[in-house]
Amino acid sequence: MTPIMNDSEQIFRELNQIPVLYIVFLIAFSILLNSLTKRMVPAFAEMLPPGFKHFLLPMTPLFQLLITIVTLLLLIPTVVKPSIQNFVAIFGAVGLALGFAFKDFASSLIAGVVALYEQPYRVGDRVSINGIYGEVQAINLRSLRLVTLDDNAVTIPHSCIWNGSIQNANDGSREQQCAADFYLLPGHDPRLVRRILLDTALTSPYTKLSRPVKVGLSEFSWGTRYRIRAYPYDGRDELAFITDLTIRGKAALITFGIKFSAVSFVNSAGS
Amino acid sequence: MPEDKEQQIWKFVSPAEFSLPFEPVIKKAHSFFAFSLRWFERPKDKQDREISSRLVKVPMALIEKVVPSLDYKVPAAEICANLGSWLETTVPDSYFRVFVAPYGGAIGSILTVTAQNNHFLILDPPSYEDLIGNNFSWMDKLSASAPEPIVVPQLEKFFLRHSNGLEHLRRLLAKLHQNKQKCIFGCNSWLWQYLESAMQLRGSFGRCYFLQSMSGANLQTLFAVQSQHSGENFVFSRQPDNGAINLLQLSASECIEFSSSQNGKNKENSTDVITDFFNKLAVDSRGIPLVAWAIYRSSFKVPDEQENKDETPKQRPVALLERSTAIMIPRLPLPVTQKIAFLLVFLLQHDGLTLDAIAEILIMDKAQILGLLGLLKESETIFAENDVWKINWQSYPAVRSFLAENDFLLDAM
Repeated sequence: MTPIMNDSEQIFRELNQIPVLYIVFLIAFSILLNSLTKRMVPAFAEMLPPGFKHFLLPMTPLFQLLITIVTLLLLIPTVVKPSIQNFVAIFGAVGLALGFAFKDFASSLIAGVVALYEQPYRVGDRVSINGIYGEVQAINLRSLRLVTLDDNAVTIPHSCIWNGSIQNANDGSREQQCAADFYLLPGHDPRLVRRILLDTALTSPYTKLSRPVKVGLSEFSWGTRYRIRAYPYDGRDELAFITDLTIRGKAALITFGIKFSAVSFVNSAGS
Repeated sequence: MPEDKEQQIWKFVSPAEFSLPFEPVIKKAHSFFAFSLRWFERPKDKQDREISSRLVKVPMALIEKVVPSLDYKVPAAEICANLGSWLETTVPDSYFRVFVAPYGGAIGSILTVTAQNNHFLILDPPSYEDLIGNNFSWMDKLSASAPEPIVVPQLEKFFLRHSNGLEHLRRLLAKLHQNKQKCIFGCNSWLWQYLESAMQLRGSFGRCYFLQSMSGANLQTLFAVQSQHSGENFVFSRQPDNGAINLLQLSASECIEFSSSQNGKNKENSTDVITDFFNKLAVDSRGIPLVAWAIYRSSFKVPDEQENKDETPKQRPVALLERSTAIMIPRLPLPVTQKIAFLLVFLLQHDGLTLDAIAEILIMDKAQILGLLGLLKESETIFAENDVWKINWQSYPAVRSFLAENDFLLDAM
């Protein structure tokens, strides 16, 4: 027993040598700093021009990671006697235990670090993960938070990047392509319809005219689907833009007497 | 001759030669430090500021005499000079010529005078109902090719940013091409940018000329010539950039001498005294004639009548220009929303819209639009002329700046 007790004494400092108040203060300060960073960086980014905002927002989790690492580096020497053998022993044991107990947590944690480097998503991106589409509001150490178009907040662990696919609509930029569909009965002039829908997109105030505006069509047994593809000034206006295109397009097509399809079911092959 | 001087300032150049007036870096730095150090002003500066605060705006009747409306005979002649042999030839390289000017460039008025002076036919624009209702019957008057060119002073009147509106412009160009009819178009830079980027019609228009922006010296000459046309014997004097004012004690002629002495210039060369103001005016107004004209008109002050018992302004009116650092430009109302940005862009592209047109092409409730229009009118950003809402020339720099910051800039100049 005595040699073991001697080993533990060699690894850890004596109780009376551990600055408890300092440790408590450090942890509290770290939590406060993390919380402030999470709030202040997005607030500051909102004050900047749009181009700078999208550069600063993804830096938030980096700042938080930095704060956590610095805190740990300051904490450990206060508890463990600073020798190489001690640190190796401690970290080895801790790592083994944590590895088994928090396998998935660790997987998400590492995936989060990888995601910071590979950037499959950033704060402000509009992504689709596991069929859930929304804007990335926050990237935490273990997970990311999406807000859907229905204003639902969804938390998704970073480990989704290992095996699943992530669709990113804007990939760090302010703009993203939007699509508005029109389903028409047969028996119309497609050139006329295409011209009408092109003009619809060109006249919408949301349309970013420096980006291409296209109208494509696909033929089905029940009629024709026309799809306007265009870019709004700000990808956040996706819903408003598609709504505006749909209202204008339908109004214009109605004035030319073009009939809309009333098909209630469209199979997956035709969608 | 004043006309010779004026001819040199109205220039139409190719797009590659177009340039804007700029403020030298040292002046910008001086303005920045003057603003930063304003808390440490000297007692004399404070006294001058107090005196300045007792000056009042010049009454409109006096302004109309001091700065009358611009005359467009000279730029109209310059346009004909630019067109040169194109007017004579029967088989030109292109049947169209386009003159593009920024908002406030008065290209519509200039081309109207050009057409009147040379007996060219002016094409009447279609009505709003024709544009929105897909009614192309207004083009029937273009049935035959005329030997003289047709003039379209304002292409904006043939355009409506609506799904039914764009086709009118396309068919007009196609018909003119088909008839081999020469045509001179006037277009503002916002619509020109839209035609280039959205409708990709640039290639249909042939040679294009931009109204060159006016430098400070050009503006000084322009307004001096215009005031000479008015025939009034006014004396202008300028406060130096440090804001020194000595209005109540000096007579009119002494004002000029005072201003010259403040700058250490030879009093015989007094035109140098007012160059700084006009240089700043050129930069702030982007060298646009009507924008500079509107800001210039609002920069005059006279003493409050109650303060000045000894002077008789009616005998010897003296109008002082505001300090160049204090040129007032109306600001947009806060907060500025996306809807306001859309409204401003559309007003610029169309050079004014009625309430019905705004409601139709922006797809907004009239009540909401009236709220926005009221807000903008209160801040003097827009005004109504015959029920058509337009952007104030004086507000144009602020409007353009706001649209540029928010990525809505669609201006070719």
